[in-house]
Amino acid sequence: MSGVRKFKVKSRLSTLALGSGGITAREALKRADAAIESVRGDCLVMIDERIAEIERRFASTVPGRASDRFEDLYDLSSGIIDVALGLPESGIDHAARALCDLVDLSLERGVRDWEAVDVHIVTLRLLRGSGQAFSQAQRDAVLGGLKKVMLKRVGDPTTGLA
Amino acid sequence: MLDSDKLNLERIAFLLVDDNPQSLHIIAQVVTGFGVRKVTKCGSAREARAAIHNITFDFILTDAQMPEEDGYSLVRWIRRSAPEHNRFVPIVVVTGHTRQSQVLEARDCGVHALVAKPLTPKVLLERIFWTARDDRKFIECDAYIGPDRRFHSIGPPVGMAGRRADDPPEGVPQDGAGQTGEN
Repeated sequence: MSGVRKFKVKSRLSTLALGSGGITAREALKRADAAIESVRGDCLVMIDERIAEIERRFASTVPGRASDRFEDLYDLSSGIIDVALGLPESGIDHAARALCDLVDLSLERGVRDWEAVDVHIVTLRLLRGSGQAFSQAQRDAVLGGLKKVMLKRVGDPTTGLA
Repeated sequence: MLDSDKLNLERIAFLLVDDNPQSLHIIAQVVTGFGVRKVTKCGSAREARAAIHNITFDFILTDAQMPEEDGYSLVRWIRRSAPEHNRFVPIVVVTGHTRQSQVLEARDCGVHALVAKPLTPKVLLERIFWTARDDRKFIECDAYIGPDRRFHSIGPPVGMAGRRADDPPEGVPQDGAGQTGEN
């Protein structure tokens, strides 16, 4: 292939979705909210299972944690984000994403800062229990604390700079 | 998107791809709530490729992080090698966390939009609306196949001639906005 080709594509999505009939956005959201209500309980169970496994393998009280597979901490934390819809407005998705950032940057640099990991694990547990009861300002303060720990101990995940 | 905006998804064929069965189930519940009747669920990129060969889809929503083959690779394959009936289908990638090493891959794979998890019904519906109204051209070159990554083309800076045949005339005032990427 050489050069650049630009062309219009007529999508069936545009034709059908924006055509006649259908339901309003308000109605669609109402139905979708009702549909996911049935899976919210399952999501909470999965959040609990993943936090419990993180604590079982990577908490400060676990003697052999340094020899465990650090990459699994990323997968477990990412798994919490997957089902965080079960605990809306708790901040737990942000905390889990911060832990992913921490593990990702740590792996990239070949470093392990266990104190930073500990702070993130404790925060996950805190937000699981009380995140929804916190005010937005309180959640922001907790999550802001994680960001400071990350910047001070490992670096900036948005730039990769130490 | 306004509350009163109408959307008809009854005849839209959706493909959902996610290795996490719970996530797949949640998203399927959400789109069914939107009125979608034709939902194909795949637990891996490999399964998705098989479905893409056999079915014409109108919208694809794929998870980014999957073992064996990730969502970005799947999108790249669709844009370059999928059967013609699915090559230009609107695709949204959902990501929980984007690794530093995947940022460029996410930008360059040819996706219509990236959305962060947790995927709420409101965000997903807004993205579907947005994608349905998206009238960007497709770009096809050696390095990239997908929708134009520039959301607004306002031409070259004042006093400079444009390099592209479809650049607006020289002298269009620049406000620094709109140039979101290069193709």
